[in-house]
Amino acid sequence: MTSDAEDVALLEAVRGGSERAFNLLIDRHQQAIRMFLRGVTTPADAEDAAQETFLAVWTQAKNFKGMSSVRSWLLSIAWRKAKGMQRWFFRSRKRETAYYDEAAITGMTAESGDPAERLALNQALAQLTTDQRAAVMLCLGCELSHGEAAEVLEMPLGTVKSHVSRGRARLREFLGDSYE
Amino acid sequence: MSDDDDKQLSRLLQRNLAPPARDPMFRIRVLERREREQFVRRVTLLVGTGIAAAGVYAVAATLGETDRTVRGVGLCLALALGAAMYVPALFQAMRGMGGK
Repeated sequence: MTSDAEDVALLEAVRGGSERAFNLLIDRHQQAIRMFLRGVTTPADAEDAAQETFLAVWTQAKNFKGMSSVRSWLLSIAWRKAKGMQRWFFRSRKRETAYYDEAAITGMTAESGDPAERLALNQALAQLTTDQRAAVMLCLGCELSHGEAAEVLEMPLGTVKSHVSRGRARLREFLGDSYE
Repeated sequence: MSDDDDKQLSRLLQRNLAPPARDPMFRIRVLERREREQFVRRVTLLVGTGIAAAGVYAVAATLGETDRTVRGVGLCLALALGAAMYVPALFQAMRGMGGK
């Protein structure tokens, strides 16, 4: 069975109320979903939106029509959640405080890698518009095709290509050769 | 822009933004949140039904102050509404206790 077919089978099982399938689906896709969200929004909103994405899977598994891959479908839910959260600035501030409080206790934000490099990357990403960040994260971070990214973001293909191209150029300009 | 540039950028994004491939804590947080939301939904539904049933009976009692039939119908409606909500919840709770 291919990875895509396995995902569809898992989603079918989730539809039938399988806890095990739900756990497996989370394990298989949490990395991509959270990475995408970390690139487009704040750490607290990213964590919250990722959790909400999987909660939506539990309640709305029947809405998957099979027109795209399960991963693209999950990313499109995540994108809608992230956009929805940005509309509520004050709630976002509250989430931010709660997130860092929890992180201080559990060490949730402790990541591998070079903090200086991460800081530079975050500053570089902040130079892009939200749509550009989303397109860059999908095409370069999650390695989706432009067509798949266009479906996820519900944008015309040309717009996505332009966002990726401009986003990539601005990232490169900002980061210089520091990441090579 | 070459493919190599894209690969470098991909690696940079993945290295700095990707969480671990396996993160049981994240899964636990999702499951915990799902349980919490289901609990709140159930409690809201039960409390709402209780209030609605009391409201139905109060209206029937007011309208049927002198008419015992109207009051009786109101009481039956309120009981039926309560039973429809609480009996399944009771069975579910009993099944839950039996399962443990």
